[in-house]
Amino acid sequence: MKRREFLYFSAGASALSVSGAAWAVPAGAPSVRVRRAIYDIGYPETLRFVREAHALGIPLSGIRGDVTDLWTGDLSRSWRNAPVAAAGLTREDSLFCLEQLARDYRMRVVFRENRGQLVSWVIAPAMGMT
Amino acid sequence: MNPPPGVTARDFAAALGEFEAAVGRGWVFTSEDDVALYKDAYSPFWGEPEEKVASAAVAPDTVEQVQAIVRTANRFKIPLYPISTGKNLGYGGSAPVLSGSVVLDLKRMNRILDVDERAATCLVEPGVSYFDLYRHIQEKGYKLWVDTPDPGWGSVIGNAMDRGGGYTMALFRNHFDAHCGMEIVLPNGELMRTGMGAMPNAKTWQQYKSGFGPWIDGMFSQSNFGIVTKMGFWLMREPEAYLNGTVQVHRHADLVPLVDILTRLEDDGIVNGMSHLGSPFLGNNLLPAEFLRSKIAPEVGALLGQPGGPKPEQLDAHAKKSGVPVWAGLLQFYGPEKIIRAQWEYAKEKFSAIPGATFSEGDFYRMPLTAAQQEKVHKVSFGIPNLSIFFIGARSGANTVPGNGHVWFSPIIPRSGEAVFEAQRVFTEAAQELGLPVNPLAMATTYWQRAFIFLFGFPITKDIEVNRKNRAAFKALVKIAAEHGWGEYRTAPAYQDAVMDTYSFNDHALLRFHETVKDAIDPNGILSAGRYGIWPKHLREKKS
Repeated sequence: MKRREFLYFSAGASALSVSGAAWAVPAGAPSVRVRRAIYDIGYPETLRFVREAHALGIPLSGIRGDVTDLWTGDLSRSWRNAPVAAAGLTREDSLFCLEQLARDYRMRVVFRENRGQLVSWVIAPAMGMT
Repeated sequence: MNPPPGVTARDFAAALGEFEAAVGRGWVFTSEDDVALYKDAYSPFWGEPEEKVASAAVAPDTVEQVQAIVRTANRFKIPLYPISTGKNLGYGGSAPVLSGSVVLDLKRMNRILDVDERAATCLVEPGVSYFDLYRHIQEKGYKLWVDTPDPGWGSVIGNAMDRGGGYTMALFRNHFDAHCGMEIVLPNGELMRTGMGAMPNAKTWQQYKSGFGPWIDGMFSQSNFGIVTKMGFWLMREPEAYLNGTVQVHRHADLVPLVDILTRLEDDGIVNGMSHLGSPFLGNNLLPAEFLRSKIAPEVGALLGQPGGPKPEQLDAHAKKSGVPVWAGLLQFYGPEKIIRAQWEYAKEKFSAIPGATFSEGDFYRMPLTAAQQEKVHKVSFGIPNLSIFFIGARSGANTVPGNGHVWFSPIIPRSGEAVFEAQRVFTEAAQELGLPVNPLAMATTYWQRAFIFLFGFPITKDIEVNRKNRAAFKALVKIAAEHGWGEYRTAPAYQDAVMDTYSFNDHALLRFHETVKDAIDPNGILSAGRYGIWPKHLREKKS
């Protein structure tokens, strides 16, 4: 089993960090396999996030605020085929759009934390979905 | 999981079981988490008990499944709230008007059934988004455009049913007017087709709109009389070229002839794209670069802040001193190069009747656009769906508290400069009284032919008290607008009763007609109770 398939996002098992601090996850938060990482190219503070996602072999996508190209590029098809969890360090408006788009695939934001001008987040399918 | 109002837990469970039998396991959603996904992302009731919530959701994949759900809903009197993609943010989203309704989510019905390049038409299901249809057309290489609203994630059918608009030629940017033929599941579960589709094997369902006898398509828009499961549209043919140009006028009063001449040019088909009007005093990204301002000049800011707004002579004096025109209009032309250049020349000739009018030729493109050009242009003017509208007003150093959304206040006013001046005055005075930020030089928009929309975005906040105040202010503006003869063309569920109440000619004869139809075709009141102010009989009786 490859590690990229089993990156757990849960209390005590944070693998990705943001701005030098591990994600603080509320106790009892569901474990999520993060299979996609999304970051905003315009913000240097995403560098560590990018490095760690890269090291973990998680497919990375960079955006500049607007998520249109990401969505029409491959994310819509990817989520249509199989809704998989994504983690991100983006602007709040980018997350808002992704959150609305994710609804159609029965996914929701399961973690969100402000990081200055950015927000770190995880969007994941409902429990029981792959 | 609470059952819908007036439904027992036992009946609800039985109905959900039948829904599941119809659509298959996994497509009936009852968990709190799943149902929460259907809340309105721009709810003006955020965090309040009145917030609209569903009791459950069901997502059919076929027309037959929709019919089965409707029949079950009738048997158990379950209120249903059909949505296509539920992304009508600013006008309601996916939340039901009647809390506790079961959302009938049509997102799985996302088949593009036909695109006919020769006829320039399409036939789609309700789950097809503008992104989907655009991608399909691009992949097939058809020389066709899809007129799209600002966010491209919405449903082509849903936006048309809500009578939304886009940005290309008038025939196509009025999305309901661009439709041609519907298939509808009626509240009793029966299937009906309109226009030529009422004739079995019709060859012109997407080519001839009205068919034979009463043309009833309009009754299914902004209403709750049926569930549209297929809809045809006329598509715009890719033009050979595009040109835009700007006319600038330098006195406040010049708006009157500017609008009159523009209207005549549009009515004659000379200006055949969507025009944009505005005041360069405010900066405007659709005006030529020389008029762009990162912020409003201090002198203009002081004028805007005056009680009652700036006086015309003050604006004229500032225009004279600064050289910045008071008003400008961006004109857009689609067609063969020779023709659109001639149209622009003719338009300039006509606008030259306004003393001192000046002109700037803008962008010219031959189609298809290159990738670099696609990045540069106002995408929706070229039928390219996108989400960039959400990235205006983003959190930044200068804007540390981005909004939580908005609802649109959108009265229709006459298409004249005088009407704009009156609307500016009335809404500025009202805004100052109600404590709302309204710009005294706010300009009407030109989505539709023959009339303007005077559009304001009301902010949604996470502050319950502010939201309450804004809701009261919104309703006050609806009344003020109606007193001046201006009615909203569309509104969010929170205000649909209030707006419908202003369409009150002859003791609400129109609403009473709607109710008569509703009671006749949906006696159990199962479909979209309360949508656009139309309530079924049993709920009207409760309300009274």
